[in-house]
Amino acid sequence: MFLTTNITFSYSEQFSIRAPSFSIKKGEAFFVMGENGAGKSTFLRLCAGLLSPDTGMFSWENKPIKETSSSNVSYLGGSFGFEDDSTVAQTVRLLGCLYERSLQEIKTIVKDFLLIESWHKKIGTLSYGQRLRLAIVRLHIEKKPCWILDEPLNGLDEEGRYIFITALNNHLRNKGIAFIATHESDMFLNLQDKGVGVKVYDLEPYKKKLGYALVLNYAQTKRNL
Amino acid sequence: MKKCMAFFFYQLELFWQEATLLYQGGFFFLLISLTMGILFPDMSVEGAMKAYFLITIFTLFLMTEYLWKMPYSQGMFDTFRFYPLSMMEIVITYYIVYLFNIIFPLIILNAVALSFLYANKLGLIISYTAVLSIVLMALLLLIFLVQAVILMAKKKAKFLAILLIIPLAIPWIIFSFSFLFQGESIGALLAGLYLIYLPCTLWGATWALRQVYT
Repeated sequence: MFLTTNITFSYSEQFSIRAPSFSIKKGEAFFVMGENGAGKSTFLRLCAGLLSPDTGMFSWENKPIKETSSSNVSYLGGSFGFEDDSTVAQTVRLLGCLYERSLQEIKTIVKDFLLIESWHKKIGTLSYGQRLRLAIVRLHIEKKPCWILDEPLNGLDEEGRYIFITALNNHLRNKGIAFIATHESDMFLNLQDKGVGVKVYDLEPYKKKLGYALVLNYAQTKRNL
Repeated sequence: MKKCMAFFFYQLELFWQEATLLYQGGFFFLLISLTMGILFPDMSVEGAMKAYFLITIFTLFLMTEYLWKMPYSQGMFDTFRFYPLSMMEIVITYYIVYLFNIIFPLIILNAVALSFLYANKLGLIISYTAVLSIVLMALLLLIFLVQAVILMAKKKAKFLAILLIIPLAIPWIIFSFSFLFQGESIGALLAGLYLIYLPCTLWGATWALRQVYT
């Protein structure tokens, strides 16, 4: 289980985030929505242990997230964290060695996500949709229980959306959890029929937009209770 | 160890794919040595080495942005953070990649370039090239350390950032003095001290990055 306890975080006096205590159980997805600049990405970076909150704590199975993130968290930031100059083959081979997967196993995953044709292509030359598929390949190679995804649907075509939603559904059904920042409510509408848990939070302004507070969106969450 | 090696070879491959700057640097050195050989045929090895030293500093200055971007840029590190490798393993692996990719080729290029000029003074050339390699290593460490200080300052760990400026400054003070007294025993002593200090500086940089990221 992923737990947070009364989080506050500030860059400076100009910007801060507050979040109440909440928990995410296995098989649940946590969505954070909000206007541009509200701090969605910052909040996800806090969840991933890439930033430290000023007060409060993020924990996974009762241990601070910073201590367990390398074995439990897969994080996809804005650019998916790929090296543009490396090829698909180089990237997945490295991941295969790091996570002790055989080349055959890796190639099967790459084939499943329709990237085998791009095996020798540099990542910098791939389209956004292909990069996202490669990111999903990474998630499958890593096989970690907690996915933290920053606006994964941005600029994605219908096929890409379908592939992503299916992968996310399978992950949640296999008792994984996911944190997702998004602008788009259709993502969790697509999930709610599949019997997985969904919690939706909004980052709402307070203090004349100098700070944002994480507030449970009852209307969206209720549909999934 | 196997995981570290995989990470090492991945970085090595990437670096050589994009090492055009390095090739350009090599040609630059070669061109300079040939020009010097033609224009100043009677120049002493010491004089030539001093010129090379300045050229190396200048070249590295031009390469600073490239070096800076490579290891700890935010996006890259966000990915490394979740690899099943410790912070120490990542920093050391990166450092070795740098040794392979920048320092060793530059040392060889320097030696080759000087051999063109002074084929009969190979011993001197090798010893001067060794000195040059130490300078290059120090420059890399300087970059690591400055990055660490900036990262720590960003994390509001200002006190630690100030503490780090001390190890950052000391090797350069020692090195400057050893250069001032070169040829004298005090110069040799300071240079020795500097060599002892290098691993401490590496440790300092590693420690600082661990404070930031763990």
